Amino acid sequence: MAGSYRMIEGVVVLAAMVAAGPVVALLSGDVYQLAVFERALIYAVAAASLNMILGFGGMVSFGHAVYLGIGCYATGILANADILPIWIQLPVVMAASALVALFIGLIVLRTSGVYFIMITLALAQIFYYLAVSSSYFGGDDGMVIYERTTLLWGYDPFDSWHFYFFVAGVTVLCMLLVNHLVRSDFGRRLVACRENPTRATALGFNVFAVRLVGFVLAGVICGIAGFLLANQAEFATPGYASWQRSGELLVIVILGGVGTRFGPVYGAFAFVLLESVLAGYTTHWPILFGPFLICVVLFFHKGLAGFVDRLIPGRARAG
Amino acid sequence: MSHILKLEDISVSFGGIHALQGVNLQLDHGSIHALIGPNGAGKTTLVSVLSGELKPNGGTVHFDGRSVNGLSTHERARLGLTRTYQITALFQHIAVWENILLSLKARDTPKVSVMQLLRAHAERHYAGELAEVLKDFGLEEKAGALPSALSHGDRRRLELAMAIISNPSILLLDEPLAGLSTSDAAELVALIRKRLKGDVPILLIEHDMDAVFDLADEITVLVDGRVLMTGTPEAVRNSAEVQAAYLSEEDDF
Repeated sequence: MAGSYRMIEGVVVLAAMVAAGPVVALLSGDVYQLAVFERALIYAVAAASLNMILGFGGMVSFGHAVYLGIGCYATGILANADILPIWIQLPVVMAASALVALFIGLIVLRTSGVYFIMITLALAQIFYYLAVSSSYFGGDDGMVIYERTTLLWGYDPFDSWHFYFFVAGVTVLCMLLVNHLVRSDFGRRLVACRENPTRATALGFNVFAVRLVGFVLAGVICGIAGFLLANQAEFATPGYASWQRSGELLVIVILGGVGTRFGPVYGAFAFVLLESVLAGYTTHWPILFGPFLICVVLFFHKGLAGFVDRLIPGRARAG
Repeated sequence: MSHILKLEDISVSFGGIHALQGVNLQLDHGSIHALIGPNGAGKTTLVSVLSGELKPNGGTVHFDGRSVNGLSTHERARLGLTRTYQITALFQHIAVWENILLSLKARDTPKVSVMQLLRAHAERHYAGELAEVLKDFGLEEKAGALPSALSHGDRRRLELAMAIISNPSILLLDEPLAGLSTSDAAELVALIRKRLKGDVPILLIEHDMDAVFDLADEITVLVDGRVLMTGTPEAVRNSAEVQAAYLSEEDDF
């Protein structure tokens, strides 16, 4: 009963997430609207990976955008070297993100609380400044990516519809992966280590190892978001790995609902759509977005996901 | 007589305070060894040294004939050195049944593996054992509740369940009966006896003197971080030294 309900909810949310872009594009007759929704999807993947370690692992990473940057640059460097097939690009992106996450994880997981936040930020900034100072890859100006990833015969990466469904497909797979991971045996151990590390250790769990695996997996998934972003923007810039970007990811997770299944999707769509609408009126759109975020946090338990839960009658608010 | 656990000359100091000084203690197969002493005597400190949460400034912990000084807490837990906490340490926001399931899984597969990434959490494999544990510990009706919603007695039972089902080779119980009524305490003691098969030794820290003298085969009295005496309940009860040490600190002995 509860299982089938979960499945229906999952199918509905993912279908709506994929369909939103095409519906708006067809109704407005403007195929470039798809680009806005592609960004929302990409942000949803990045936020879902952050939500996995923040919401389920209790690790507040303030440097999560670094993997967005790593994925983006890895894709761009390969693309500009004319290595375009996805089955080469994606494994390289995943390996690169995993290595960086392993390096950062081995250091930050020895700390906790506010130190964890500060050191994730500091280490991410190292990679940011590496990108800024790497004149070979465009430095501060960023790097134009001339070719998009190729997939199969008949797939045209520069066709708006083809590309949209490519991004949507990868996003759905990543969301399913994250949802599986948090419900897996491993995912529950991750929650146990958050809930009571002392007890988890006393049971024989190696809390450090469990957290490290979660941290690296989240880095890899965020790296995939970076891979999509490189293709979508056709550009790699140090800005993708900046601390402001990490802050945005945190805002999306909190807005959507920390530790909820589809919070990152709600948060990413709300963030990107509000940004694109509000930015049309004023460049100072955060002035309007800020109070909105505060209201959501104050009035909805578990963010937008909590709000959606309330809309469904007879549904107990689940964690 | 074989010692499964042997503490040799354990010393711990926090700054200038000597919490433990040259403590020697042996735990034999099949025995219940009680550790008593006034508040601040260093009982919980000793348990923390045993479980590895605290590194002693000096001395050695021998387990099953080898030193475990270099092993971390989770490595010792995997050897079967299992402890409970004075203040119950449960997974507060996870249902009771899942607290128990995690303990069962920690027993069988403590290490992180690829299988855990692929496998769903709630497995049929454990359904039978889970139901049995819930029944034995009287938690059947509270299986779906969160530990924060449990009564104090139920929390104690859950805490104990998680330790006992992990198949310990030594059980360290830090005040398992604290805050329980006499009848609840008696029930819990019966439960420990029932579930613990074979000759698993227990190191029991307890303030409830009736329980201690009823259960223990051997008693060590700790005062100000030193062992005052180790002996049978009879010997301890009749020791003038112990009487003096206790009476000066506590009136209810």
